[in-house]
Parts: sequence; structure tokens; C-alpha cells
Amino acid sequence: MRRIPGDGHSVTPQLIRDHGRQLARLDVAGHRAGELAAEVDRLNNAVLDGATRLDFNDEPARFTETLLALRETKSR
Amino acid sequence: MTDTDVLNLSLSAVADGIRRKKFSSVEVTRACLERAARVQPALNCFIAIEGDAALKAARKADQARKRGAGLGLLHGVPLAHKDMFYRAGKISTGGSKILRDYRPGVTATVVERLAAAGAIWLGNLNMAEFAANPTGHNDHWGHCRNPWNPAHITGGSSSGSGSAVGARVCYGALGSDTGGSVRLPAAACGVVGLKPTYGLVSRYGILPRSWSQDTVGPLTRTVRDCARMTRVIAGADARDPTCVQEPAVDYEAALAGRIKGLRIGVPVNHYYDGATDDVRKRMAESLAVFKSLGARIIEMKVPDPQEIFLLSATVSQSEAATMHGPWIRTRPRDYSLYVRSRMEAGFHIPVTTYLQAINLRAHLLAEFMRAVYAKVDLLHTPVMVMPPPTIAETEPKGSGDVAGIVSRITRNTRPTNYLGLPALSVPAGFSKDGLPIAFQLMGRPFSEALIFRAAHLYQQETDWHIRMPSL
Repeated sequence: MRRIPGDGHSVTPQLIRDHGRQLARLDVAGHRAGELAAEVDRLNNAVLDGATRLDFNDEPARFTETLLALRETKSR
Repeated sequence: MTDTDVLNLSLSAVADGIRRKKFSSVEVTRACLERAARVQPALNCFIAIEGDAALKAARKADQARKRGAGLGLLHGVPLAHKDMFYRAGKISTGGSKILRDYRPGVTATVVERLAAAGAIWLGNLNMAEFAANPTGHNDHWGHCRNPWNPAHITGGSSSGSGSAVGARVCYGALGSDTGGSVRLPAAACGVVGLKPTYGLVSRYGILPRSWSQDTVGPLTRTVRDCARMTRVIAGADARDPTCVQEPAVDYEAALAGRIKGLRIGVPVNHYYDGATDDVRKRMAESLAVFKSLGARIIEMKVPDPQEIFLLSATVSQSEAATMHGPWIRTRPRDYSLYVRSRMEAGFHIPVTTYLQAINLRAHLLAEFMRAVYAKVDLLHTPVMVMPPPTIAETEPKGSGDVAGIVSRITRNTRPTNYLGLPALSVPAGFSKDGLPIAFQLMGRPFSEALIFRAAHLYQQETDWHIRMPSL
């Protein structure tokens, strides 16, 4: 799979409507599909841009571990 | 002592008064119920008032005191709570139409702990539908209104909690904070509100909004009161696996002390963007108070909160869409525009994106700690960059306005939830139109004791928290 750089317009209203109908069992009206396309695009790209920080060994439980570890560092 | 005098007492003072037999729990509870009946038509802060049950519990509290039983920290004190803290067999609406008759089968850990400390349950407070908007609008139960001016929003989603505590109807209230839902109503209604560190307070038995970011916190009139309620509700709970396995700290005892040499950071980016003159003036005044107490004020650039804001929204929309999916498919018309708009994107975000947003939390927290809390002990920012707007100004007229309204109001609160850090909203004065303005103090993980101490010392030097609205 080849990485495609985001151009900020990768999510279209049609994609939202198709995805809603075929994968989420939701009908999305045309006007709303346009708004959702912009919102999903913004959120998705923010995460993908930030994901360059991630490591293969990351997992959700690391968050609580980090909260506790950073507190303990201070208390020492 | 008149009813008004009693209602003006802080939670700690009324608890001490009941303990020392200056007045009874029945007298205090009756005064609160009369006040509730009087302000409810103007503020709509309650979904249900449980007058008979509250008076019955107050009589029991007085009998216990009479026979010399051991008294809890909140013995006989009337509280009311956002209508999302479950009591087995009792209706908990979540501010929604869908759960209008919902009777959960379990009782929330925090409810059990408040009851064990002797608190009286006055009633269920209004809230944003499914805890999903930051204004206090509610299409099903009516909009909640600000005690300082009922034409203005209370902030949300713990709208009734802010309104009732600000209006002197009860001495404290529980709220929940996923993106600012304790701090915003606390700020808008002129009271104190804590968003605790993620994992400090059990989430067992509460209506979920976003499992990864939901926190439970108290709204009170004083920092001391908030410290007391937090001591009661915090601590390990085997029924909530995300709760840290440590006992609660005596936060009230930790108020004693000074803050000489404390380093308070003031962000030069993001947090003041769009701030009104009123807000800037009150922030500067509050920082001057901290400086007079011996703190060092340090201006600094903080990591981009806008990125954190978007990651937080990705998580909350995905999780809300997951839990509401079955109802959105079968009962979409039973949701308001506000709530639908705040979860619909979640249906279209790839699960890999959601999980990456979750896994990024540890990295962004570590970066934030290095960039900020290696240099300062606390951060000080406005909670909102403007005084609470009117209900009419924040009414979504079409689906397009919701995201804009929400982001303007929550821009300074939401990042903290993604990072899991604690933050306390503290009254800092009023706008030229008499509406409350507040700052928030944010700190390292589990630094609630330090935050409480700094804010408590601030309240010893100011009187914003003892002013009351004329209703």
C-alpha cells in the first residue's frame, strides 16, 4: 500500500453518503454529508499527521501508565 | 439565623453548623427546598425535586446526630446532582427524551460515597442531553438558565449543577467533565468546579459520554467545599478498572500552607485568542493576586492546543457514535440537533484513526509535561474567552452552526480532557454587564492538592465567591 499525501479534500460528500449507507446503516442527507465530509477530513488528517509519533509497541494502556509515572517522577 | 443566612453559608460551614447543633438538617433542607421552588420557574435547574424523600433523610440525619452516632463529612448537607448519576431503581434521564423513564440497575460509586458521608439528595439537576453540549440548551427538558441573568447560558453540560449551586439552592453538586462540562458551568455561574485527573474519581454507574475522557467532579461555592467533596468521592474503586488503585487524599488538610515560589505559567499562544477586554482585565487582576502571594508568573508558549483539541474531538465523536449507534439508527428524531451533530462524524472515522488518537495520548501528555510542567507548577488561563453569551446567541439555527458554537466555548477546556490532567475553575470577577468570569488552574497528574491550595489562598484574598445573584 502506498501512502498518499493528504490534500485536505480527500473526503467527499459522496464518500460519506456511501459509507453511511454501506457500512454504518445510516442515510446521510446531501447538505449534511457536505458538512460531515469537511469535519471528518479535518479530524482524520489531524490524527494521521500526529501519528508519525507512534511506535509499534504503543497500546492504549500506556496513557494511564504515563499519568502515574509522571506523577511519581514529581513526588520523588 | 434567617433562611437566607443559612443558604449563604458554604458547604463546610453548614456541615459544621449541623454538627455543632446550630441548626438542624431539617431546617437547612427545608430552606433549600423553598429556595428551589422559588427559583425553579426562572432557572429550570431541576429535572426532579425530591422534597419528601429529602426531608425524610434530613430527619434521619438529625436523629443520628441526636443519638451521638458518628457523623460523616457531609452529614445532613443538602446536595443535588446532574441527572446522570445512577441510583438503582430510580429514574435517571441523562437530560434526554430517550431515557425519560430509564431506571438503572446499579448505584454509582460516587453516589454511595456521598450517602455514606451523610449527604442529603435534594433532586436531579438539569443537564445537556446526554452530556453533549457546552451551553445548557435542552430541547427536551427546557433550557437551563444563568442565575446572574436568566437570558444567558449556564454553560454545559452540567448546566443545572452550575445554576443550582450559583443560585444558593444547594451547597454542592456533582457534574461530569468530558470537554469542559464541569468547568464551563462553574465559570458561567460564578462557582468553583473541578475536573479531576482521569482515574482519580470512579466513573462506575454514571451515564457515559466518552469513556476515555469522562471525569466526575464537584461544583461548589468555595475551594474548601470542593476539596471536601473531592475527598469524599475520590479513590480506588474495583468496579471501575480505569480508576487508580490508591486511597483519596485529605485535600482539605492540604489547603494549609503557602505558595511562595510557586511557578505559574501563563500561555502566550491560543488561550487568549479572541478574549474580550473584560476577560483580559480579570485574568491580569487574578495573576496580580497570585503574585502578591509569592508566586512567580512565567509567560510561556505551550504545545499547540488546536492539535490536541482535534484529537480529543476524534475520540469523543467515535466513542459517542459507538454507544449511541443503535438509537441513532432507530430513533434519530428523539435526539436534538446539538447531540446528533456532535457524534455523527464518529460514524465515518476509521477505527484505525480512532485507535491512533487513543495511542497518541501518552505521547502528547509526555510532550506537554516536558514543555510545560518541567518549567512551571501550574498553568493559569481563562476558562472562556468571553462572558457567558445569551441563550439566543448560541441556539443552533442550522446544523452548520453547532461545531462553531461548541469550539468557541470549549477551546480552552477540551485539551485538558485529552491529556487527562486536573483543572479547577475559579470565579475571578464579573464582566461590565455583571456576568461571571473565571480562570482555570491546571496542573500535573494528581496534583489536585496543590491546585486546591493555590485557589484557596486566592479566595482568601478575594470576595467573588461570596457574592450572590439577586433572584
